[in-house]
Amino acid sequence: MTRSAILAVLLLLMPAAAIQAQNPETMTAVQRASSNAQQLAAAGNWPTARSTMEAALQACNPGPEQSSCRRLSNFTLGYLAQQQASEMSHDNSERSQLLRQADDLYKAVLVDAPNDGATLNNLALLEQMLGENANAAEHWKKAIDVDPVRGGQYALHLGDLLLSQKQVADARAQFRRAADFSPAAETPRRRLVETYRLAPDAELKDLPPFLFQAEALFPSVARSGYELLMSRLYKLQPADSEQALLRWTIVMSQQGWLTQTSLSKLPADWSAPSVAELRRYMADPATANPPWNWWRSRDDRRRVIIEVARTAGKQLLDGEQASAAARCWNVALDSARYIEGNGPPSPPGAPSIGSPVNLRKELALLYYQHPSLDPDSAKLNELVRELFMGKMEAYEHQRWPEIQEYHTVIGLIYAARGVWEPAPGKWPPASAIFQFEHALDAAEHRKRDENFYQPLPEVKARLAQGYEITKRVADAQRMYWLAALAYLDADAPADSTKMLDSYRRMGGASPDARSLEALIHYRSQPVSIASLDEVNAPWLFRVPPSFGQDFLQRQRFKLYADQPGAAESSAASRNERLARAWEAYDLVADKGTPLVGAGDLVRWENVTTTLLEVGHVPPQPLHLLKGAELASSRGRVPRLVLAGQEYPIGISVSPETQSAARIVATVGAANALLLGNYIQLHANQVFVRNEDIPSKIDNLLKNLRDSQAIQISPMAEVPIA
Amino acid sequence: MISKRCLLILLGVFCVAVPVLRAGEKPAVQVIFDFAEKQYRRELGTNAPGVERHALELILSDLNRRAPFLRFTSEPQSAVLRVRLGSPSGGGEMHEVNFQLLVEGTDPVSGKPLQSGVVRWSFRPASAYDSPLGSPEGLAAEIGLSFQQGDHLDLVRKVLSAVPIAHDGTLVEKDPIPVWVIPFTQGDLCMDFPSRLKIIDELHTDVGQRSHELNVEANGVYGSSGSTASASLQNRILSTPAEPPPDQSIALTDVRSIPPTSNKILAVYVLEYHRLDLGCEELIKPAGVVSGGGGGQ
Repeated sequence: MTRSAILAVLLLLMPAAAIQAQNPETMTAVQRASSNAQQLAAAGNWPTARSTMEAALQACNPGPEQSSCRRLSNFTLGYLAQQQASEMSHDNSERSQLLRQADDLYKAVLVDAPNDGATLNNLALLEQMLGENANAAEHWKKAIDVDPVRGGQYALHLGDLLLSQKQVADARAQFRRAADFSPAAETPRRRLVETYRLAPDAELKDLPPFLFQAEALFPSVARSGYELLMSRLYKLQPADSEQALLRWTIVMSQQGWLTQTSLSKLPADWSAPSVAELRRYMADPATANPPWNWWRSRDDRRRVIIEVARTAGKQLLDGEQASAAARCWNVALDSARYIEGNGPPSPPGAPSIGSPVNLRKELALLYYQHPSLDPDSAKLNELVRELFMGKMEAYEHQRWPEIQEYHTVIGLIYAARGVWEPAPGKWPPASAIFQFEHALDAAEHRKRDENFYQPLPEVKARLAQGYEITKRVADAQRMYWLAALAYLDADAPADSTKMLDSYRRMGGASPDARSLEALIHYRSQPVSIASLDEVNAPWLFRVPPSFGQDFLQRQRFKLYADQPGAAESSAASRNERLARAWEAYDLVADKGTPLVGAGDLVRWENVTTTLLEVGHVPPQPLHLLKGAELASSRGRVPRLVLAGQEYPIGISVSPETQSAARIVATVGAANALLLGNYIQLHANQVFVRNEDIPSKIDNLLKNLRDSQAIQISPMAEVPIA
Repeated sequence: MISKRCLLILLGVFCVAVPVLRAGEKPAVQVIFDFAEKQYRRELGTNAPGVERHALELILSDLNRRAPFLRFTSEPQSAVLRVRLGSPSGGGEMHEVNFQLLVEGTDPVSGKPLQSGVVRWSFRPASAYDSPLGSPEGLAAEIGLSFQQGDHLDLVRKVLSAVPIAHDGTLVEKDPIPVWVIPFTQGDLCMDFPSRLKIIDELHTDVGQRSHELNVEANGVYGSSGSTASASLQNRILSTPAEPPPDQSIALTDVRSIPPTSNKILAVYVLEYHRLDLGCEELIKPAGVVSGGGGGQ
């Protein structure tokens, strides 16, 4: 047997030997017993569930190295007793007996692990069931301090307890804390609004800033909060209640919730002009004479009219009243003429309010789809004129997302009419080419200013086609080239090939074309990991002038990320897969390469799944960040660009994924896999098995400790739930 | 004389038509996903059924997480949620592609037809109609992601509210206000309070039966404070009449005039659902077997 073969055999045998050495079988057995006991309990077989767990507890040795075995056994027994008690009526004598048992068991767990959040939580719930509310509150407070991963849940329970005791201010503070711990959770925010129902009028002034922040991500919370404000203030503080009405109307319109029925949520005897006009309008949104007076008296209110009309018109369209919808939108756009200044403020990361561009776009679409509404195209012509005016206004205020959208829509209209360039002596902007060029300029501006890259292959392809039709050969060549790159970004290699063919048909002969051809080939079919190095694919590393560094980084991410999905099981290929997954991760998480298209989202899931295998963590659900949550995300988060979406979506990276990536970065892929036999990742911590660590592993752990990038704790401290 | 074969068929029909749901068991709804957009289907060719299958998995996962008061499945059921993406006759430029969602089929218990409104969610705006579809896996992920971003409150309000979640329950009090208990715990439905329900209540009197449709608010659990709660109703969700509108004072007076034992709940619907997205199950479960992985060369 050769030395390498012996080494391979030893490596294959190593994990089993290592696991044996650390005696983890007791732990695995107790985990299995815990799962079985829970299944038995779910089927109502409480005695067998309990005896299963008691046997498991008996099997745990008394020494300190078996403390996690005892903790899990006691915790499960406590859980079973508490669960069974919670299904009994209060006058059942067995109930209090079970609760006392559970109390003893949880306290036994806390002797070994005084900072175990799950045990503190279950104990607090148990104490609440026994009416020992002060103890429950103390245990939840401690749980919040020691277990931030579930801090939101604990703070919510504590807030509920305090609210039930009418300690409104303290409850509110806990709901705020729960919201901070859990940025995507709606429940604590809903509870926070509920606390204001019990608050005196003077405290209501604190609510609007919170509701404003909630509008984009939690519109139903904002809605109920504004309804609360209006119902409490409409008689006493008319100005404040009208401000709440304005924000409520924005939320309701943007969500498409504004209907005649929804207006019945406002106080029935509130007859201020603001409300009366809204009620009259929603009764007949297709009217040629809308009742706006209060709503037209200020520019911010006039912009809200646009939002209201957009929603009302869509409802008419859903009811197949296309003509009424067209009238509704035309009337609203009339009232939008000569609006100056920005609309009402939007929460961070949310689109601007009352922009006429969307409404004009909807109307153009309506005329396009219902030619009978505009047989001589006169209305569409008028609309194009208005789109130009709107575009000028958007330029004035530097609203780049709108500017891009205006140029694209006008470009599409001219392209559909075959007007690629203006008639001689005519105004240049009245052409598809001009508009598409400026749409791409606006996109470039957004990339520079907002770090928001959009590939826009369809716009580039149309523009190239326009140049070709108008015999602008050099421009057509350049744009077909850019379209070929953009289609690769958008995971459409076949379209990329077509664009490259058109580039050549236009006489394009750059030496980079062969590199692009090779890249398209690589992207079109699975390639071996080995062929992705600098020798076999030099153009992937040394930037050809017409590619650009950013483009190559995006392509490298795709190529690397496509590797971890390959079902290869040899040791070498596992190392390679992990190494490539880390490189792909690094390109996105550290170098800021954007994910382009949903295909990249799938790749990102594969990359993180491969990294997490290092720490025995199953694949984790993606947490996407939008609007205010993205704007407030700490540090740089990976960004995803999807076709047709005006803003990027953020992707939160879990602490486990970050830890796994740091391990690979510090010790390398092969060593990370070796280390994987001795560690488990949980949140931002690495838990290491206690016993019989080989010296090589010990050295690797020392490297990790020295890097100070990761917190390392003994396995005995790993959370039991 | 009925043959054995006929008897089996009749029994089979009976079993399908009148399934008995145990307390806490949620009714099943079949989700049918139809990737209808003509131009996109043509582009996908033979990959279209694969995209449909994968997207359906993502849609089911989203619905079971966001609307867990029903059980969504791809298996055939009499209640159907139809999700259509795009239009079979669509095509061309300036064409927005939408999801359209509606409920149809029949209520498996009452046999009554189910009919809902339609909600539409944007998939791609008109200006992005021509954007490449990307890989089949990527497209399925895009469909799943767009679906996830839809307005689920509206979906419940206009569509899922057509499917009854139960056909039983108990009127536990009638004074000072009626209190109904439905056969689910808060954890079963992951329901936060207040959520809104509709109850079809049947009153049995000496002169016959009459029924009322009542809007109620789920706002607590039975037996959380008292000591005399019936064990079978322990921890079940209770609901009280919702504040107007609509005015339901006549119906409520009628309910209060009859002994609770003469009251029967025919159906319960969810009108407005707020999910308990933090700590749906208050008690934290012990961890099960930790999956192996990681090392091993």
